[in-house]
Amino acid sequence: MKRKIISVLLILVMVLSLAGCGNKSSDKGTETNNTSNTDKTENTNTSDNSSDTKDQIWGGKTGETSGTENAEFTIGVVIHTTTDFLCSKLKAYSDYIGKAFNVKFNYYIIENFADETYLAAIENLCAQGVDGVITTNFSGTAVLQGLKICEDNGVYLGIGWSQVDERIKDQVYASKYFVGGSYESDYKAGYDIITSLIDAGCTNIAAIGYEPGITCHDRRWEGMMAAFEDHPEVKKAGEYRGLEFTKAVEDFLASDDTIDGIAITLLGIEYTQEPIKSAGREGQIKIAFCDFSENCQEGLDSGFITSAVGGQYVDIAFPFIFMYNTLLGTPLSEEKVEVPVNFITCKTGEEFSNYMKYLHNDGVYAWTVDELKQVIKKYNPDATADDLLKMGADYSIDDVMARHANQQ
Amino acid sequence: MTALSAKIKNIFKVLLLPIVVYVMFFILSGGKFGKSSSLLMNLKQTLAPTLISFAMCSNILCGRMDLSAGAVVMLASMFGAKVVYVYNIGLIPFALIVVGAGVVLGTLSGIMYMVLRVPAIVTALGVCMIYETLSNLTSISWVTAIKGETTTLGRYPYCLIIFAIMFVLFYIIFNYTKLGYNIRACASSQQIAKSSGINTKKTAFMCYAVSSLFLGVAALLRISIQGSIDTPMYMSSTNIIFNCMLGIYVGLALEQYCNLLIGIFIGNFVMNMLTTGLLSLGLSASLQNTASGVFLLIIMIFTYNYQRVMDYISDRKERYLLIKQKNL
Repeated sequence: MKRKIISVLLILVMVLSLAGCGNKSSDKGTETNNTSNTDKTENTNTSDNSSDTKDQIWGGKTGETSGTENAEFTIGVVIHTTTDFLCSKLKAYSDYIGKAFNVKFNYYIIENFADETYLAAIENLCAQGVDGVITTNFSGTAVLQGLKICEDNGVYLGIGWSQVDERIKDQVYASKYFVGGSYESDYKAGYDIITSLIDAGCTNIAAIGYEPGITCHDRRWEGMMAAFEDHPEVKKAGEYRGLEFTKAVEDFLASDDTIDGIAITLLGIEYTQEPIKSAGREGQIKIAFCDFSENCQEGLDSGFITSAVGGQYVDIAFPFIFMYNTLLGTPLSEEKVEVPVNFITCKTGEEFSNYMKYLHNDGVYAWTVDELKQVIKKYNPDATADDLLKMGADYSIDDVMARHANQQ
Repeated sequence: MTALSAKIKNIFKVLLLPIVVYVMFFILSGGKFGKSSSLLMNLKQTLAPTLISFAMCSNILCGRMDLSAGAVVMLASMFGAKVVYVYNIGLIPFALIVVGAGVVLGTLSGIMYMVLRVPAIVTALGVCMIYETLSNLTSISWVTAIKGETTTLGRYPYCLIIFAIMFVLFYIIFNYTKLGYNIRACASSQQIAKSSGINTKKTAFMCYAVSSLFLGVAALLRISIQGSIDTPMYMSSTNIIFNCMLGIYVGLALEQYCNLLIGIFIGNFVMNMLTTGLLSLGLSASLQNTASGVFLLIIMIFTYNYQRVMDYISDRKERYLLIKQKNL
């Protein structure tokens, strides 16, 4: 009897949860209920911790939404985290943008970069009734399937941190629900980190990369290998692609005491500092890597880091601008555009310090709301996609300093 | 004398595998692999995985696949690293927090197995996903680093001292306590153990509880040695335990020649030598994975069929002698 009661209760819970989910609203601007269990809804934290930083770190009051709560438009963002150095700034930027333009961003945190995960995320967000979806690192032919889901739900799709595959570009561009996207030159980033080590005098460099499968890391790796090919005078101490970066660094240092440079496609100091110290080779090895972290300043100041490449949190702005213009009924261009955006490269402590001061610290962003309004037709009828292309091409620390130095 | 020579033979058989792997990579790498610094590095890299293998082996022997062990280690490490980052605590509190977190998480895992009454692998997968999600929420960045005083325990001789204490502790628990006897009885046959009066449920719970201590210390050693912990994704915590499981299987194969714990240590050491050796060969990244799979197969075939091969050789020898005698 007990088991029957429990079974009935479980069935009721399932049915009610199904009824609660999937309120697909066809009216744009209608507030939707975030009842999906897979979406991390706002957390309410009753902690007495008064520090904003600690609240943010412990995920107290930030939740997984940003922007304006009762917004005119809701845009879903598919991303792997919102807590690291890069993605927390991206989320903060979306909050800044959302509050200015009356847009709410719903963040869907994915646990891996598999195509099925992205497609499930897009389905979930569409089921929540979003007006658009911005994906990050979504690439390959699965983009077509994602676009199909969006088309079926009348939801727009924008892509950040990734370029649409050449094989499907025509089909993607032909869809009215694809608004555009932005990407960085990961190939060049990978190439540059090797050349920066060579320029710093390194002659025996170990190459470490994230495991194959994520397009941005694959391209960075290709760039790194191309740099080795173009510089035959430099020895490649070895290569490793996987997840165990620290172990790889330990193994490289243990097997070859002439290694004087390490290049990594994802972060650097965190994986190398302790192994280099353990091997007793502090000061003898330089590193270069992609993606900034809060630990970059010290390394760049001391010369331990020859080059750190990052600053790509701005990617949220470009698909947003395309999408917002489209949602307002005034698309920026008839043709679909993907904006190539510069990476920020820091080779000295001063450069990173300027990056933090003008682009990354709390309250500062690469483009202010007033600057973004110049590429929104509602505010500037003359705005075109070429303006966005110019923004991406001009993006640099110097560019931001030139525009914002007087405001600091 | 016979006992002594049998012991020496057993020692030789146990050391044969690591020696063969060492010599093979030494030759193939042209002397690049196998320096003393490399072996010391391998030894350090073996410590935490061996403790994880110890933590898992009692469950594995009893037929329970505890896939959540890696997630426990990651979450305990991540939690400790975050507390260091936010509150700037010292070494002792850091160590206590990491070990304590490991104990709590591992014990919770055991409680869930007992309460839910589903196969251990199902509980383990669910717990693994929950703990990985918590690690994601707890993480500061893609990788959370610690430095300075908090990495002290990862250096020689502290890491060796900690490992030695845990080794002796597990040796005593596994070989000289009632729990150890019960584990080995359940490993032989759960039904017979139950019939003979052993409380198999209590034994199962105690396996998780004792394992949790070893997982906590493994988490402490791992983050202290590496200086950082990655945010888990895509069930990446299971990567940690697969090599540890291989270490257990090598240990089981070597059990006929030496104590299981020593066999597990040797197994993990060989696995680490394998990855270091492959890097030292200078193979491209894609070939490394293929080579790793091939070498692992060879090692497992060698380990599990070594006795069959030796028996076959001695059979052939005896037959040859018999034929020779007949001819004479």
